[in-house]
This record gives sequence, structure tokens and C-alpha cells, in this order.
Amino acid sequence: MEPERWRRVNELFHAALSRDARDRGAFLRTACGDDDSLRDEVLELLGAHDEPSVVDRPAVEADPALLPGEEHDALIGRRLGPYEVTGLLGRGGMGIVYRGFDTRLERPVAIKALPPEYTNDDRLRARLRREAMAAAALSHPGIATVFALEEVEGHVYLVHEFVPGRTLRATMAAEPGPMAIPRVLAIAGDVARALAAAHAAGVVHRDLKPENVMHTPGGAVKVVDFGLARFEHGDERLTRTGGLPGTPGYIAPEVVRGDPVDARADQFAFGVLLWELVTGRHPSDGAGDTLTAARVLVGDVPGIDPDRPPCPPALARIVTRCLAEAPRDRYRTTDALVAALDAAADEAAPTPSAGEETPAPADAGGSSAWTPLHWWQFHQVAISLVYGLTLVPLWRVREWMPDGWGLVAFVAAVTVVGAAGNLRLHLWFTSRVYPEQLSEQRRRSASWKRLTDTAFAVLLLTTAAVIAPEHNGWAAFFIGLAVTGILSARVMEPATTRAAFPSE
Amino acid sequence: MRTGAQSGPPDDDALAALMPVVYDELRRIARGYLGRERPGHTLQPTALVNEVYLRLRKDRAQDWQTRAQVIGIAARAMRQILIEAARARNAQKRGADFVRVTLDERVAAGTGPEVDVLAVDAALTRLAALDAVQARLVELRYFGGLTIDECAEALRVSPATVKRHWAVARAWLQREIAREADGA
Repeated sequence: MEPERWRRVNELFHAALSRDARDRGAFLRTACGDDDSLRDEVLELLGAHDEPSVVDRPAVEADPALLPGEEHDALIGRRLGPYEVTGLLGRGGMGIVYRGFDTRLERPVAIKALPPEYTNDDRLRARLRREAMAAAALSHPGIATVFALEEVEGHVYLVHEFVPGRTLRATMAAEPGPMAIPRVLAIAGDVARALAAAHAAGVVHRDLKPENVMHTPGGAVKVVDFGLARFEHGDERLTRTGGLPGTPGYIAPEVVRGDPVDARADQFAFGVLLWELVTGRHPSDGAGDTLTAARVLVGDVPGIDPDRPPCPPALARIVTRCLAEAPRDRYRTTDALVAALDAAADEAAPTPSAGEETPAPADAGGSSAWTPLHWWQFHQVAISLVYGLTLVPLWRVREWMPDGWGLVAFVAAVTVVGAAGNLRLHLWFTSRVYPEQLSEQRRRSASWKRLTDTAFAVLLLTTAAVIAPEHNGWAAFFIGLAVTGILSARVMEPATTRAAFPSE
Repeated sequence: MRTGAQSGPPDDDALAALMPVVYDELRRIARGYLGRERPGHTLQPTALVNEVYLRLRKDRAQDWQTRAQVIGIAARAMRQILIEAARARNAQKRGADFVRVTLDERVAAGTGPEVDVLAVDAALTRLAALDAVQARLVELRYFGGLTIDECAEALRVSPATVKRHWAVARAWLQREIAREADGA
């Protein structure tokens, strides 16, 4: 039927309705002329008008079972091809996830039962297969490996590595509030490296969120559901199922808009995840999903406040950049994001003690220019070496001292040099390996350093005084050494220390 | 032919983009409802649809949509949710052995009289080709559970016009579905 004819049917229907029931037949015979099918159509509608209609009761009231509710755990205890289904792991955006056992390879697996759309739609199934193949090609310790896409009895199952442990969401729920920055950086680094590996292989996750990040008992972090999490949506999301192409709250603005999506959408989700770890709450805390998406649409995602709770500025900058409204304002590659995180981690590493601003250890940034910390470290080593070298002339002059006092002086010198040199080498080592303990170690060793430095200067001056009458050249040398040592301990070392630890 | 909802403000694309969001919100709310309500309780779709709107309105700053627009989207989202559920259920009945074991008599009998939502959906799609406003109206009423007055607001027409459209559309749908059932 054409719309014009339908309009005509409508007019006649209403016109007939307005008449008395007995007159309707005659009216239609006149109005329709010899168009019998038109008359029959209107008559049928008039007949249906007096009957109850299937649409009189809203669908949900007539069939409440249609609303999404409890799904049954139908598969548990059953066998799907080579897989035994042993339990339920969870319910994901794309189906129920079961725990299973691969009887051929004798390993635990996770089995995701996909909704029936996947079996019914050839195009969708073909695309799913392509995506699964791409995801299966990913091999990275931070990514749960996809093993197989199986069709059993007309249903599609995605089989992937079973990752023991709990989700990052569970961790966040168990330990509410801001997460310690070093831990945030460790998790973020692992997740970002997994993302970067996938992005380099052309696989976009599309639904990164704490639910899709697993902590294994061994401390490893694994990202699950790569490229498949919300696979069904993408370009046809509106026409197909109308489902959200991602999770509200982690979804990038370009995804909401339906623009082309690439790896940088994952960077956005990663930014939200970081935000959440650092602050202990979600950027849109309290707002519903709809509102969250509306805010994302207009680019109104709040930046992170670096002060509440304390967050290294470098990390806050990374979050802000990941959350940029336009993809081009995020990181060009996810490798660049990883590099930025590594730099932030290096910068943050020595600062667990409150408020102290200690620059990065010596290996930060590889071959980059020397920082004051490097000079301080160099100075500590140099002083130790100079101390050690002074033992050579002291050994030489011991014979010039009266009655075996030379040996006593030398042993005293070895003790003092050993103590002073070792203290500095200890600090140097600590700054390289345990930067977070450096502040404490420096505080504890400060008075010992002063004591040994002073003792050494006194020793040198005493030696010089004793040998001065016969060996004034050597005496002058030792006096010079003592003065140099005093200057070094009182002037140079405090200078390099102040430069390296400006906040103290 | 344009529907009343489409003749609204020019930000229809933004509305369309929000469709998936409303869809998920609705699913979530629906799950919540089913979690709270006792079995057998009659679920009011209009309550679901209105809750979506209320959640939006709670936000003081963002006056980004009218109630009618949100409700229109929500009704469409509801349609998709129910259609998907009906398809899934059909597929289960057709398909695999292992699903059959769970569809025991109790469950099968508990669903009450079969209402072929899919048939309504298909007929509605045909109706849309004849008159888009009528199709939207049925969507609002049948899937969204809206009253005549609410539909009038959503479609931006008078309640009298809604009543006229509804009278034809409900008769036509009943005729179409009865004819299909006879033919089948």
C-alpha cells in the first residue's frame, strides 16, 4: 500500500466511525465507488476497531519475562565440544562467562557464551571471527590470550585464557579511596604496555575499564576482552542493537558521536581508569550513565586535581591528555603514553615519604643531561676515592714519625677513611637502588660524616705538625689536604647536596 | 513524512547519539526493577521510561533535552530491548539441546499468554512505511507505555490527533497480526 492510499483509508475510517454503525456500509459503498479493495480494507479496520487489539496492553505488561532479568546458569556441568563447563565466572557486556576446562590440552579456560545474534547473522558472525583472529594473534604477558572461537550446537563460544585472580574493579571495591601512587603507576604501566602491544598489532580494546583488568595472585596485570568486548557495535551500533558501544563512563566522545574510532579511544578509557585509581572515585561520580555520556559528548570531563589527593603533576598531565575531547589531542601512539608513564614513574619513585621532592635516580632518562642529583652522586664517590688515595702518602710518612706513632696514625687514618668513604658509598648506592630510603639514610649518616671528616682533618694536621721540622714539603701537602677536606666537607658537599635536594 | 519527534530542535543527531546510552540506562533500571519487585507484579513500562528522564533531570546544570525527547528515545530503546529478548528466546526454543533442559514446564507456563512482540515489531515496521507518526505513536504506547496525553506531548500534536491516529493504528496492527496468525 502507498502512503497516499493509506491516508485515504484513514480518512474513510474516521469518516465511517463518525457515522452510525448501521450507515457505515452504505457510506463506504458510495465513498469507495468501485474500489472494492479499499472498501474491504476500511471495513476490516472497522471490524478490528471493535475488537481488543494486541497492542492494547504495553508489551512489558503483557510479557514481563522479556525484560532483562536473571539469566540462568544453563551450561554449568555440561560439555561443549572439548570443553567442560565447570562454573560461572561472571556476566559481561557480551554474554555470560563460564569457567571451563579444555580436555584436549588439559588447561583451564574461560568460555564466553555469546548471544544468539551471533549465530543468526552471517555477517556479524564473520566479523566476529575476523576480530577473534586478530585478538588471538596478540601475544603479550599483559593480555589474556584468545584461544578459540567455537560453534557448538548452533551457539558461538569464545574461549580464552583463564586468568585467576580478581578484577581491578574488585580491588578498588575492596580498598576504596585513592590508591597509592607507586601502585597506580605500576598497574597503569602494565595496562598501558598491554594496550600499546595490541594497538601496534592493530587491535583496539574498545571497552577498557576496571572490570576488564585482572590482577593475578602472582601480581601480574592482564587485560581481558581485547577487541571483542563490545565488538557487535562499532559502525552499525545504532541500527543493529542500539546497545552502547562501550561502557558509560569510559566511553570516548568520538565513540558516543559515532565518529571513526581508533586506539585513542582506548587512551580515553585509560585516562578515566587512571582518574579513578588516583582519586578513588569516578570522574562523573554520582551521575547516571546517561548523564555521563552527555557530559562526554560536550567534552565536559573534569581534569584531575593534582592536590586532592596528592598526585605527581606528571601523572595528572597524563590523565588530562588521555581525557582530551579530541583524539588528536591525546597521545599519537600508545607507546608515547607508555613512555610518559615511565617518565612519571621515574620521577615519582623516590617520593613516597611525604612532601619530599627527590629528583629521579641516575638512570632516569638514559643519556639525558646530568641533573644535580648526578653531581651529588659523583661528589660522594669522588670524596670516597680521594679519602682512599690519602692512605698512600700516609703510609709513606709513617716512618718519619717517632716511636711507632706512624703506624698508629696510619691505622687511625685507615679507620677514619674507611668510615667516611663507606658512608658516602653507602649513600651513593642507596640513591641508585633504594631512592625511597635515601632521605632517611642521609639523615642518619649526617653526624657520622661530620665526625669522620673532622677526625680526618685533625689527623692530617697532626701528622703535618709532627713531620714539619724535617719534611716541611710533606707537611705543607698534608696541611693543604686537610684544608681541602674541610672546604669540601663544609662548602662543596653542602652545595651539591642543596642542589640535589632543594626541598631540605 | 516526518514524525513529530523529528520536527523538534535541530539537535536530533545528538539525540540519536544518546540512544545507545538511554538503552543501557533502561536495561539497568529494568534489572533493578526486577530485582526489587515480587514475581507477578505488573511492571509499568511508563515507570521505566520516566525514570530515565528523571535521572537526566536530576542534573541541575544540563538542560539538554526535553522530557518528550528523552521519553521518545527511551520508548525506542525499550522496543529494542524487548525485541532482542524475544529473538533470544525464540532462538533458544529453536536451538540447542542444552538450553532445553532449563526451559522446564514451570518457566514455560509462567510466561502467560504468548504475545508475539516480534510480530508487532514487524508490522510496526510496515506501518512506518505508511505513516511514520502512527508508527512512532505505537512505539510510544506499546513499548513505552505512554498515555495519550504523554504521546501528544512527545509527538507535538494534539491529544485528539493522537486518538485518531491510535484508533487506526491499533486496528490495523490487530488486523495484520490476526491475518499473519491465520496464514501461518
